[in-house]
Amino acid sequence: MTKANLPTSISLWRKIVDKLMTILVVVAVVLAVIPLIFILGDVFIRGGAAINIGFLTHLPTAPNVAGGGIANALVGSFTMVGLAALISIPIGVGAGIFFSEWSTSQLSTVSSFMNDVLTGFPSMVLGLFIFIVIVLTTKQFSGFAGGVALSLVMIPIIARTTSESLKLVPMTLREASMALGIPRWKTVLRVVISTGKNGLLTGILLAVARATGETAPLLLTAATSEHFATSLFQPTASLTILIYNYGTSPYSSWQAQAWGAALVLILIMLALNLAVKLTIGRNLTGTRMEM
Amino acid sequence: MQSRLLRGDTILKILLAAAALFIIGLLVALAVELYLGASASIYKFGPAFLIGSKWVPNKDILGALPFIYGTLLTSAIAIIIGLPISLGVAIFISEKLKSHQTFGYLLGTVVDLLAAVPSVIYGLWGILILIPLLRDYVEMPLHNSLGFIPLFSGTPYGFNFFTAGIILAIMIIPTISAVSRDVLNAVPNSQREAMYSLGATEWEVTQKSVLPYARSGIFGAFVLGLGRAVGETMAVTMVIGNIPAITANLFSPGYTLSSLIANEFGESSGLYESAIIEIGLILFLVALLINVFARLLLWRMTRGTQVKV
Amino acid sequence: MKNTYIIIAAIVVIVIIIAGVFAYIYISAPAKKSTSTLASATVNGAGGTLVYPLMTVWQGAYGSAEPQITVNYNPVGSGTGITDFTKQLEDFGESDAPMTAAQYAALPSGTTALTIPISASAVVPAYNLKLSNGTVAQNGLKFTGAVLADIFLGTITKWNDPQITALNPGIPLPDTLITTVHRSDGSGTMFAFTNFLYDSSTAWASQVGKPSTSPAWPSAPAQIAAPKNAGVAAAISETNGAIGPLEIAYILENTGQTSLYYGSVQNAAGDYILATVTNIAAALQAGAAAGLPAGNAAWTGVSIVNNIFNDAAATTVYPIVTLTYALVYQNQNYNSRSFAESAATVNFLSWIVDSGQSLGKGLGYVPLPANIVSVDDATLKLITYNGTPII
Repeated sequence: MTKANLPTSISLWRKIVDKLMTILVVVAVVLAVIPLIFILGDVFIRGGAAINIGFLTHLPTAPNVAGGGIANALVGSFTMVGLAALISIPIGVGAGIFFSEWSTSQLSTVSSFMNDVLTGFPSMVLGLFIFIVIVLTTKQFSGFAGGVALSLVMIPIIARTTSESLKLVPMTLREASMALGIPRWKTVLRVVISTGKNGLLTGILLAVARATGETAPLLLTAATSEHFATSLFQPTASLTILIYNYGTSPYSSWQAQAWGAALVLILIMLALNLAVKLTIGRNLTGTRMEM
Repeated sequence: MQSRLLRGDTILKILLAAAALFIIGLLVALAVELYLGASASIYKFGPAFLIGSKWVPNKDILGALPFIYGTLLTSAIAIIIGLPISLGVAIFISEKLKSHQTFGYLLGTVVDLLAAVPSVIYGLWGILILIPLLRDYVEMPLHNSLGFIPLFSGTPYGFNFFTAGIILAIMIIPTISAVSRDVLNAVPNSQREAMYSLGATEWEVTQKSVLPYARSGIFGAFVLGLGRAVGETMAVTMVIGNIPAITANLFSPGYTLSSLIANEFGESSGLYESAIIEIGLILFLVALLINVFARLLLWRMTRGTQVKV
Repeated sequence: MKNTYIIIAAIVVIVIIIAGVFAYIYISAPAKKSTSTLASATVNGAGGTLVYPLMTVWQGAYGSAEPQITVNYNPVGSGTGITDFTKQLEDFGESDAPMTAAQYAALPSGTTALTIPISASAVVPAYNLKLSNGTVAQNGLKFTGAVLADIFLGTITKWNDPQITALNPGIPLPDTLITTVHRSDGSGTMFAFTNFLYDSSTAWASQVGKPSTSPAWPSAPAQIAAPKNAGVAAAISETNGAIGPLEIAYILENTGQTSLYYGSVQNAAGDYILATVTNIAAALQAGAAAGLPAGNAAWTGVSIVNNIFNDAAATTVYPIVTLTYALVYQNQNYNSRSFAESAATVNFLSWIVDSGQSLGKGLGYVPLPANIVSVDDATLKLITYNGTPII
């Protein structure tokens, strides 16, 4: 048997391209990591000194007065982002499923296009909208209005990422499920979603991170306060507004607290990220789609 | 039995369609509110508002063109710089780190942390740290060596389109890379294996098999990143210089639509407030047009394939 | 699967513990003992950022004096403060510039707004300049209003322009291009500064027009607009050759920084004054002595800058000084407000005017002089509920 005339080596050019691309990709990672180190490093250095237990549990004080803290801002941010998540997750995931599973319907095409436009809306305008719709009608700045404004920021992100993740679930899975006689609604809820759940979670976490870091919508809706909010219908402090007010003040004690609050915010998001990914998401060693 | 199954299907479809309708309704409500608020200004200034290039409030000469230019230019810089980097990061984590899943996961989480940084901090960091750094180590050298190109012809003071574009790029990297990462991970291994069995190199597998399969998902990531870039306010306002300008010089101060709203809305009243709201309406239209353009682009790219848009 | 349940359970337990800690802190806050006769109420205000740090001092001290009254202040900016006040969303508004005629006209019909100065500040020309001998220009470069106007008009473009060197003999001013820095957002600081330029220069008056919180800044060869005083301070300190109007606290409180200095400005008497707490207070005194309107009159265009601009006898005053005002409705029974809310609002405002002024000294705020305090006291006596004066 003659030796088949198979190409036994990859051409030099293709090898060069491959190596080049590897280098470029590594360069991209380095470029992405550099500002990360700068920013996170800065936040850690400037904010680290300000953090202690008192910082997390005390109410704010005037500048240069010791013992000030961010307790009410922490609780306020938690509450408003929590409310926003409660509103935006069902709507966003629901719309995302619709875009993916009923993608041929006209409603889906129009709505998904409008959703994309919404992702580009400046959050300040969303805040203004809620100011007109909720604050002016209730004659009250409130944590409720703030939460609703944040949910408007989150919904488009969740809807987009949900639909993209679900679209990547292979059609064969759906077909197999239907072939087994499982009704469509169960297929969607059990088979499709659980396969695409990583993408879903990424999108939700991304939206939560975004909402927690938003300032502009809260300026016009939740205002701010130096005390704990005892009801949803009162001005409510938040970490980002505190960072904004303290960071642009002339007092170094307040500026340090602003960076400290930023550090707390990032650490909380990190913890949330880890917690969600470790439990509900794929396990750490991961399994790739093997189809 | 059959009617019970169909009922479940119908209920689900109705609930989900309601969510989709809500989004349409939201956008319509936003557009209506914007139009109502802007109507006084639209009536007074007419189409000249859109194409005028001077903004002099106390003489009632208002033109939105410099701000439209600023939004488009900074978003373009952000995408041109941020998209390749984000894709690079996503490809690195998803393809190169296949055998080091833990490290890939950690790197991914660390990059995602950038998404958690509040935009105020980006603004403060931008004005305190990024501007002197960029001005002295990037912009000045570029100006000195390549100053004959119109892009780099102005003397850089740090507060300009270029810095704003860079900071936007940094802000959209976590969004695009996180979503792209998940998308690339969801591409079935069978695709890769098929390419390898044909004798492809690693890059060729990525380029010819994984990326095309994930095209729609990456497009979704791109849309999210673009949305963030177009709408971002606080960080951009701190570093862009806030002087309206239409110029090819990247080192000139500029002004974007959202920065104008952020700066002027609080102090405005009456007709001027209406003009600012009209700027919001224009931003809405710009975002709409960008999305139409992007969709057309995707349609052309995926024409003939089975990828659903 | 079992692992997941365990981890979820652990997270739930942790969340409950954290919630419990917060609840404990909240509950164990010292019980508010009330010895006064005021019923408990919440007072909400919104307005400029200039007075916000002082407000937190006031909230703390007033909270000890009247613990049953909660005061909230939202530093959204003067313009939004006035808008919120007009829409009756707040108990009091706050603004760094008095209301304009249009804003008075936009008030709900049948209501009268009272203007009550509650604090003051000064605007200084801040700069960052390396001199031709290599050293950095220190505090005290001399400027006149006309020269400042020409700088910001773009007529004077270099630091060694004859007009500047004439005022500063002996200082080796370099051939550096002047970069003008100003606020990109509306601000009472800019109102006061443009007020001074409007008075000082006919060229400025004709080209830029009346003082405004968002003036139409002329273009200069090198120009930066940054949001908030913090942005202006950062822009100046990072750009060699930059100059811009800055609220004085941003320089005085920045001890240890090495690239932000401020200059002295010529007053009506011809003296070059470097702003300090003393000469700012003197300016307030002299300006108020020249006459302030009654609280329920229109305060449009009222400014200390105008009042002392031609006062050649006031030799020790700093010329660019601005008041910051609280706005409150004269008749408090609008929108079904309770008497308790109105009484609390009036009580807080009169407390900050009478007892709160000296508390701001540590933060660089200038206490209002006695003549302004008495104007305020008279204004506060005008506030009525159902026709009956509250004080």
